[in-house]
Amino acid sequence: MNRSADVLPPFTAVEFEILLSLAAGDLHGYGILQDVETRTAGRLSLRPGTLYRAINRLLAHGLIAEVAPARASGDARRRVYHLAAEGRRLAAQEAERLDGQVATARARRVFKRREA
Amino acid sequence: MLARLYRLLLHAYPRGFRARFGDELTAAFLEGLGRARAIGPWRASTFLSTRLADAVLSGLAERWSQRPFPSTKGRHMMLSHLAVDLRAALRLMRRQPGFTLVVVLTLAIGIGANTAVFSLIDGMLLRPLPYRDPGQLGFLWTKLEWIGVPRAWMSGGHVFILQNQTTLVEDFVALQVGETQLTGTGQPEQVRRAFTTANVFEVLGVSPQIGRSFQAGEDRAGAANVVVLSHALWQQAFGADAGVLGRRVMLGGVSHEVVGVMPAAFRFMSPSSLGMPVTPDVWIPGTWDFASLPTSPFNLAVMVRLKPGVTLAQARAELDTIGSRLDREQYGSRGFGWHLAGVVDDLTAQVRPALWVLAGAAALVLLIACANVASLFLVRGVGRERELALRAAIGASRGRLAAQLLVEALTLTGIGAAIALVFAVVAVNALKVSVPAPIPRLDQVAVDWRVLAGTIGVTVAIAVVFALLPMVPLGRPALAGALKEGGRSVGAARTQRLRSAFVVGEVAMALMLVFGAVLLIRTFAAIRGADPGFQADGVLTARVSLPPAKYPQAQGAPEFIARIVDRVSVLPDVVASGAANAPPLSQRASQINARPTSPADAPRLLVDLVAATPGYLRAAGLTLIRGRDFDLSDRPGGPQVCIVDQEFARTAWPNDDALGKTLRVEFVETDVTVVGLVRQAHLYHVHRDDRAQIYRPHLQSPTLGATIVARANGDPAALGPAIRRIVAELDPAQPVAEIRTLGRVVEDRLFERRLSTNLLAMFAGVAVLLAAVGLNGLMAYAVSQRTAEIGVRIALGAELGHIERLVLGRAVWLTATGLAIGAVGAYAASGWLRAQLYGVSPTDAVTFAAVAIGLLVVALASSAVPARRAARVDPVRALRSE
Repeated sequence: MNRSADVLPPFTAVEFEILLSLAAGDLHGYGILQDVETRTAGRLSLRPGTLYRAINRLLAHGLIAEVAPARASGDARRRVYHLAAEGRRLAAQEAERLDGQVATARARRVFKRREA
Repeated sequence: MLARLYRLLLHAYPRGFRARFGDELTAAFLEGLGRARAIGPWRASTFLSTRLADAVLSGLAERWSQRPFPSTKGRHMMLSHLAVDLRAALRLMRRQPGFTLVVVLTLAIGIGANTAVFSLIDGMLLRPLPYRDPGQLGFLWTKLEWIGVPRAWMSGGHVFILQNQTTLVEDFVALQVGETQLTGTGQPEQVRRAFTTANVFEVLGVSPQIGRSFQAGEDRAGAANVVVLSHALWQQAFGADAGVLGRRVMLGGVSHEVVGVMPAAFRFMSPSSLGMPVTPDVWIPGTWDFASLPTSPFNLAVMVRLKPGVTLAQARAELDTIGSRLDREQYGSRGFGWHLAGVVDDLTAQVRPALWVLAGAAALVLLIACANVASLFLVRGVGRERELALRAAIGASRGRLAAQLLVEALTLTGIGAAIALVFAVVAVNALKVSVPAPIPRLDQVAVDWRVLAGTIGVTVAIAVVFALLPMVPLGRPALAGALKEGGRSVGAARTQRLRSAFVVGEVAMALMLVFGAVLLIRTFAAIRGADPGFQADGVLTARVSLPPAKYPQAQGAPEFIARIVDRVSVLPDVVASGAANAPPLSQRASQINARPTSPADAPRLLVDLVAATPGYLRAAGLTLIRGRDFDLSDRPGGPQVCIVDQEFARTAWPNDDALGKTLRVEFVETDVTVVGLVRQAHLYHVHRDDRAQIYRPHLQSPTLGATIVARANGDPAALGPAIRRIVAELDPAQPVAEIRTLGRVVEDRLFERRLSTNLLAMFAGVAVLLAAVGLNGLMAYAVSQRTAEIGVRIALGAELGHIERLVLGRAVWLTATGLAIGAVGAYAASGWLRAQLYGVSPTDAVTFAAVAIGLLVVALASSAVPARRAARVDPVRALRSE
């Protein structure tokens, strides 16, 4: 497989969704789950197993980081995650890549939706 | 509870991952569960099943994804291949949830049922008792064939004869089990005591946990009174206080010094000649001098230890020699002898037949489950022939492909086995706590790892064979054919034949199981419906056992019992009351010989003797056919009287009225006159008893133990406290035990039978379900394979009904073949079941016909959906897909 880091992202679609959720602000795991669900109108419903495995990988690669929970959240068991600079950079890169793909798809009439 | 289960499942994740995210995962799980519950039970249950499965599957996936990336050499490569295969298997399982669910559940049921039942058998029948050289231990019984008694206890005189004449027996232990009263430790308590020779613990090869066992000579007359306590009684009555050693306790009104306490793990059951074995609470040295004891009565349970190296068979041969000599010399060759049984065999004799039937049933269920799983693997294998051929073509070695199939099969079996283990543990424990009466050795049963391993081994072997079958056509020439687009699958036809054979076998086994279950259910109904000879509704029983020290030779005991009965009879709501030493189903009667005085050549009969107070017949609901009940005029000094049951009357005076006749009974010097005739009220089994009965007035035939029987207008259980109070008022040191309604007594007596019937019915139900699933899968697949052919038929004008009949006809044919084979099997197995049946023949034609028709209906129903689908085939589409 000639998977090149320059062309393809080092994360999966699910992980990308997590990065997107954290782009709006720090969240704990269950918050991410809910955010993904609302953003996709319920089409993507993460199982906890999938979610935390993804979080684990993102942490390991330094794309996200753990931060001290806000005192108000009260629940000490809950870790809060923060989008790291590296994560933000790669997410932006991925978004750009997708944007380019969407443009191409549109130009070649792969899908017909109203122009934004 | 659910959170704990979830946490348990999280162990599928690697340790580090769990430590890091376990709390969060659990919190998320609980929050989601709350929301799902708020929506409704259906949502909650789907949530639960998906989340629990997710925990395991994600966990395993995480585990394997952590493996290092495949290197290319040696063992490492094997490992990484394994990881890849496992991941592939898990992926496949998630992609085919239906297949996965059916396979896993089928395996779980088959393995679980087998593990549970064979754990029972292993624990109860096969595992040796925890004694020194348990194989050398046996129980000794007297055979008295001329009066139809195969298992009487031993007499002291015979023990003496054997002690002097055998060369193969190392030691004799005599036991006499009964009730006694523990007083002076708070509430007076009735306990089970064993009188025993002092060598008992030495012969068993066990030592007390604290204190000492008996010393030689402590079983001689005049020795100090000592007692060894069971661990259970020590904890319950003495708070597990080690200071109990040396203390004196009152047993049966006599002071005994506590010298030892047995360990918790020590189990001993003294066999009883008729009822269930008994576990003693207190051990007291008996004082028998065998040399001076007569050769009757037969009142000692005798355990022997054979000399090292001597087998049971050798010892039996020697006993037979000595016994037959005695038979010739003293018993006129009428069939006297001894029987030696191994300890485990002896204790479990009553439950063994039912257990083996259950074992057979569980094995059949496992076979059906395996057939179904094999069948499913076969179908899937055919579906994957092309995939495998493709992978072989692009260079995968046969070994690699086989390894992948193997890992898939093993993963599925492994998950099924895990669920089966939970299932078996739950089942065995549920069984242990639900048992009302002590069943020998049941408390020692635990799910056995060897049993589980064996069962899984069988299943894995079968799964592996059938998982690998798709590999067979992958010879080089077949490859091209399999790869051709639209090419007919090579293995399909052969696979269908094999699967048809499986279905036939499943139907046959299901028939045997259902037939057996229905026979047992009918037996149970027949026993339930049989007349036990007494009326249990509205009756409370309570056992009062008096201390011999206070009532020597039972003197004064009947008077004390009568005082209790008098007071009970005036309680509000009590309509009748009485007492008897052996109430219905108590298995307590003593056996004595009775002989009518006329005609002169009348035979001697061994009968059950019941000592009863006036009013007992009415209280227990016996039917007095003729004559009168006992009354206050039947006193010790007055004329000796008795009431006989119609069994005795028919045998003794077949052509004559029993009333007014006289007979002689053991231990009574004068003639006894029959004053009444009753219908037999069973003392041993709900549906039958083996011996005739004689009732004697308690005053004329005193016993220390008696059961108070009270018939109430309302709820009889409400009388319990009142009876307890009455006894306490008459004698505060007198315990009352076994306060139970007679209805409860009947139910307890039926428990074992109900249990084995229910279990067999459950197995039969599972078998039918599995067979139906198998047949349904086969027919559905057949229809899908023949879509093109069916399309052609419809296109050529076949009627839809004809198409349906085509499919159903095939199902009926397979089922009928299975039923025919099953009939032969059921007939062959009928002998096995015969001993368990009552009121129905093991070859009952009506039952058989009903079961066969029922299975046929199930078969038709399970094929109806595929048949309907066949009839709905769209000919145009079917032909185009070709």
